[in-house]
Amino acid sequence: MDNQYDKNEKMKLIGFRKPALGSGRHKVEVTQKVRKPAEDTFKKTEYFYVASRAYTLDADTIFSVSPSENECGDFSRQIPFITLKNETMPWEYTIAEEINGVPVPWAALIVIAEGEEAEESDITVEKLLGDKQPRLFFPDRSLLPKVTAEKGTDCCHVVDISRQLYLSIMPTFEEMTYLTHGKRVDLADTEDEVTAMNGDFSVIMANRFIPTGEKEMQKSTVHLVSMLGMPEKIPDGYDKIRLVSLHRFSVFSARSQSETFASLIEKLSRNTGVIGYDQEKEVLKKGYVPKKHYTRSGEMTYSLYRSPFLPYEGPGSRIGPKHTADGYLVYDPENGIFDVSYAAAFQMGRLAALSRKPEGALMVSYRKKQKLKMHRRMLEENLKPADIYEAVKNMPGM
Amino acid sequence: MKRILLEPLQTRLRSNFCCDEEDGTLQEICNFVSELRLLKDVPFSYLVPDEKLLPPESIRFFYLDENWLDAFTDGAMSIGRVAEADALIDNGSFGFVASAATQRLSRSRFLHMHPNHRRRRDALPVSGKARTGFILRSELVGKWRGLEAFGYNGETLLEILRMDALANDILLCIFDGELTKFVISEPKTGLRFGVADNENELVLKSVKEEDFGVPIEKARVDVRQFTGAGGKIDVVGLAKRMGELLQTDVRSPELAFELIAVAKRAEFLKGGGTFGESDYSDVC
Repeated sequence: MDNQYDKNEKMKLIGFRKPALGSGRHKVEVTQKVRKPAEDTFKKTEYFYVASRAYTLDADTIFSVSPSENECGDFSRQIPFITLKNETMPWEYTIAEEINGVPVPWAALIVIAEGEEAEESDITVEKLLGDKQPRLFFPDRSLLPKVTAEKGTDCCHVVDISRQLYLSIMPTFEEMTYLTHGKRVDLADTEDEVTAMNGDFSVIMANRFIPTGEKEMQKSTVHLVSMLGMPEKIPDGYDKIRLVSLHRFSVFSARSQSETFASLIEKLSRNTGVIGYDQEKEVLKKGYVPKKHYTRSGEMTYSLYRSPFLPYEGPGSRIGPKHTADGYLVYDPENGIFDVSYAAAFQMGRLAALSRKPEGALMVSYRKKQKLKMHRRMLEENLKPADIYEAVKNMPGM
Repeated sequence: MKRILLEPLQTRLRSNFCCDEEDGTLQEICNFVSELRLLKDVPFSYLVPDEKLLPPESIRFFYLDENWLDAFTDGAMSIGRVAEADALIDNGSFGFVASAATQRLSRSRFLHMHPNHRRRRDALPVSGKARTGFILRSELVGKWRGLEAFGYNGETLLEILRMDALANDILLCIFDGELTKFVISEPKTGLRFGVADNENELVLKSVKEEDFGVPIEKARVDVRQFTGAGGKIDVVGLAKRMGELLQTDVRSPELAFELIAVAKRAEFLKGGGTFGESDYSDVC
């Protein structure tokens, strides 16, 4: 096996990733054969359910959506997609036979523009499965998993789409197999919070470019819908189709200037520099900020504060510990102004250690240990048996 | 004997004290201080005291002020310091703690990182003489989650000691070493699926092992041919056409790969001189 640290793989795209245990009822059978004292077989069978969410999605599972929620821009050439931290989520349920060896995912991402015939509402799971309105098609109870994480009384979000719209935007089961994939990414160069993730994601793409207005912003809502209980073809006689919306977000698109990665970087490139004011005065250029300073005697003055960010390489020399905040005050007698940067840092250090109780206590316990050690060493070095004998002999009463 | 016991502890400390480097508690203190020296737990107003220092859509580079960090460390170690004896013990251990903590700066991010992404077995001790970094204020931070940052000194890649989004639009990054080149890249997790700006044709990239990812000029797909009314894409048709041009089976990973817009990267180079270094004279 290669050295696991010698990695050239930055990103891997995977067709599908089925979970090790699918949703539903599972049977475990254990058989043990024994030879002595006599041949015998012991068997035990247990059943258990793996119940997954089928009508809602845990918001924590979502890593990101693209475009970002409520983003405005020109998305006419963009296909929205959702990235989930759960790498097997789209294949947790089986809704149809495999197509060309690829399992059909149970969720799809659809785009509905504002103005298209769709209505959203929140209803309970019981109502979803039993709301017999005329000409309304809703998920077929017989095709749904018997046991799910949600109860009948839990709420879910649904979107009712007209038959016409449904037929024009819904992907077929075969198309859904092309729109979903797994992804494994190397996250070594990302921010601390993201590097703690394992790098395995699943991605569901939509099958429609985002509707874009020519001049006006066109609002669209992107829905992650569940296809559980939905057949591939909706039978005739239904005008409205009700789908469970697991997650939704809106985007606004118009053919005009949009902020892309490139345009934001370009903006950044026009505003780079080292930290410090863009001013002539040396002191301001170096990053000092004048701040109001209320002294202990009640007077008010202005003092300079600078953060740990320097616009140049700091001096190699160190000023050494001063033990008190006041010890770090720097005074410029010529201008009568204090530099309180280090004094403020000292105080903040105290507060930081106090806010972390267990770590704060470490210092105290270390000192205690040292003092005891010193004391013991002093006694060991200086106390000899003869001395003790002398001292005891001279005590009154001995 | 009485005389010895009465001799003040201070005098003994002055003559005898040395820092107990092996002590377990002191080692833990060094770990704790190394996290502090990455400016964790420092309120934002202490890092950027004035909004004008970091206007919207700007990036500022800096060197870390070791003296500021020493004062910060001294403050943290001053907990429970009551008598002169305490101060003397602290005096002895300060130098050791400050330098050991600096050595361990890479530990915190290494331990936090998922083992899948680690590039080595253990955290490396800090190598550079200075710590530098940048603070970025931009919409990029919130909208492009998983943004990647690479810092270089010449051509050597610098280790990231800390990269944190302090707010929805502020990113702080500290590197081990002196930054001369900085590269920022679109996140690999969120590469845009879609046709590139101002183009209707997709230039397919090779999926063969020998020239993986290289665009094939002749293999072009006009996406409009597969886009119906309302923007709906004939996914199966598109995949089949790609398959014909690439002469290979196109499934969901290949389709995603072809639709991914290439991750954009931008390079910032250190130019011009810095301010005079030794204008800042030793004080106190």
